[in-house]
Amino acid sequence: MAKGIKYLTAFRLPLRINLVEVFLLLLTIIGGSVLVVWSKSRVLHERYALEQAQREQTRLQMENRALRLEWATLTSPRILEEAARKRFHLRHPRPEEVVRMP
Amino acid sequence: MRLRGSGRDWMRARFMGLIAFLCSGLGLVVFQAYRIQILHGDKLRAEIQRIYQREVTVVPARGSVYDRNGEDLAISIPVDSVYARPGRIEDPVGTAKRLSAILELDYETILRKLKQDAPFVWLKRQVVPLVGSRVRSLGLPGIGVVQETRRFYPNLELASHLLGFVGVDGQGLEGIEFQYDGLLKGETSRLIVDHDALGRPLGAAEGVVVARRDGRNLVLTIHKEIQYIAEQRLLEGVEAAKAKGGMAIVMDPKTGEILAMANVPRFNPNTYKQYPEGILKNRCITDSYEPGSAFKPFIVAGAIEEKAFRPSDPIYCESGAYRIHDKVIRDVHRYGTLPLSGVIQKSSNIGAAKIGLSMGAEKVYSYIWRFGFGRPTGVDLPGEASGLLRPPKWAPIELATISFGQGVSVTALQLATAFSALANGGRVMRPYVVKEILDAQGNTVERRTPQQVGQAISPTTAAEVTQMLVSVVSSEGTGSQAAVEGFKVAGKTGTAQKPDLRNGGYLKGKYVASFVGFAPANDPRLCVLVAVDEPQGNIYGGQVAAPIFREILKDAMGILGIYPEERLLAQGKNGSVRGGAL
Repeated sequence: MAKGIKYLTAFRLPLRINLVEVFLLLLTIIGGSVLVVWSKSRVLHERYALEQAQREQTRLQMENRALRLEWATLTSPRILEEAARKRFHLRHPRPEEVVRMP
Repeated sequence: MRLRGSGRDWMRARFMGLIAFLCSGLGLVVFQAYRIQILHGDKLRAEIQRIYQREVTVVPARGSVYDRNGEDLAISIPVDSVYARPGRIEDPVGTAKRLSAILELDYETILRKLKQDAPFVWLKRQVVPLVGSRVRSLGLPGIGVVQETRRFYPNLELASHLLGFVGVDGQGLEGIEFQYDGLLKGETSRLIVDHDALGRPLGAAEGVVVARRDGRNLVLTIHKEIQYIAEQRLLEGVEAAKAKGGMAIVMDPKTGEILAMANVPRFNPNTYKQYPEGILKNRCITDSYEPGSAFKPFIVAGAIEEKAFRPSDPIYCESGAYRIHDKVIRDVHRYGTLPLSGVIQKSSNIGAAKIGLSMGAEKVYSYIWRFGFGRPTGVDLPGEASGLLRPPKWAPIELATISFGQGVSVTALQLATAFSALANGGRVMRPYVVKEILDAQGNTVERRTPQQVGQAISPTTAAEVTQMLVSVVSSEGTGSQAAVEGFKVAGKTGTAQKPDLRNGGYLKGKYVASFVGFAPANDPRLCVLVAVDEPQGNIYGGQVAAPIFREILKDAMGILGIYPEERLLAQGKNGSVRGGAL
């Protein structure tokens, strides 16, 4: 045992180790690791948010299309003419009833 | 305090041991990283992709179709479709009973489907949203609801023959929907998406470029209001004449843009399966008919262009009967000598026959061809017919009858295009219905511009023929009922017997009454064609089709903000002459 220790101590470190430097090195490694984990977590979080936003966008696009369909149906000439005739008792003007503004 | 001797050695040994331990740990980590990343990298990557990624099919949204002002004519929205996986159904009888009430389907039909030896069967496709949510809420094993898109035509019958329709699987079957199916449907793409351990989607996998391409949108040349007016007036006219059907086309003669294309009977493309197949055809381009007297202006135009006749040259019209070998050509009224312009104004068959005979078959054929007859116009719609124009090896009687529009057949679009050429200084324009192609975001991908495909006659000749056509709409002409107060209208009537395709000859009592014209004659903005198929009672184009033409033209002018000329209005009010008489 004592011989083994002596053998190990026969080697000398080429540089004198400064504890402050070691501490800073460890801090950098740990800090870097935390940063990597945090950034990965943020990416994941953003991907969830992006996915949700895309779903919302798709839903709104679909809703927009459905509303456009409803608008187009309600403003179709046939529907408008029927409404004008039945609800408001309107009719097409006779030629002599049309007054053109200068 | 400083360590000395063995104590110092012990510290150093411990320190070295620690370093050795950390190094071996680091080595282990490096080795493991090498093993995972490099040695088994491919295999493990594939495994992780299998677990956390899946491939999804991205079905593009079918593009919309708009009129020239951006009004929706066709639009796709998602709807629910109900399906079954028969192998997973525990109680087919109970399931069928519950579904039959909701889906409004026969119980037996559903049960038969549920008992099918198939992994997947549709129960009902494209149901209303309420039905889909009710089926979902039942939570029946083996029954599912999936979203599909369905095509809607919000204006119902409006422009149905032109738009066409799509099948239940979203494929274009007729009209614009068929012609532009490749553009409208977009491209189906496959996409790799990530999901987490709980199966929640995380969007497209890293490094995957989402190249989804929704269908293109089409902007048509069609004007929704003019289309509606054309359809309504045509429908009213066809009903009044107790006719079998009718066609109407409104074109911009200077560009070839089709503003309206109407067919009667109409159909609702939302429920196209309820109609007989014959009704679904766009007869304005698929069917040809003998144009009758509406064809005469082209022969006269050729005669003037060839300098064979001048508008004032007299033509003896044989007092109503003209024999060519064993055949006799007759006029409706007996005329003596008429000027060339009078032949058009009074629509004399004998006069037209004599003009054709004096020109010869080759020249007559050449002018008919120049105006675009005998071949498709090239409109961007499917199923266009060529009409019938035989090579000019005609017997004299054939040349004579072709000169007044018998023995030759044309489509309504060909005739409207040819009249547009008369209105446009002899320039023949290619008719078209798609004005612009937009991407899903509304950016212009392609803009179509007017295309001149030929010069049938010189502008001078076109102007002279136009003057003759104006006289047709005067109180002395056959088309006086086409006159619109305040506008100088040019046009021509046509009344043609329908050929008997089975036995040869003509069908007794079956006619096509038509009127084609344009206005204002001095600066044409609209060319309108109206053809009424098999009117009952009154059969003449001037009395059946001309009033429909007048109503369409009058309203279309108003919609486009083209107002009557005060000078013409004043003259019309005086009762001296109306519209086209000037």
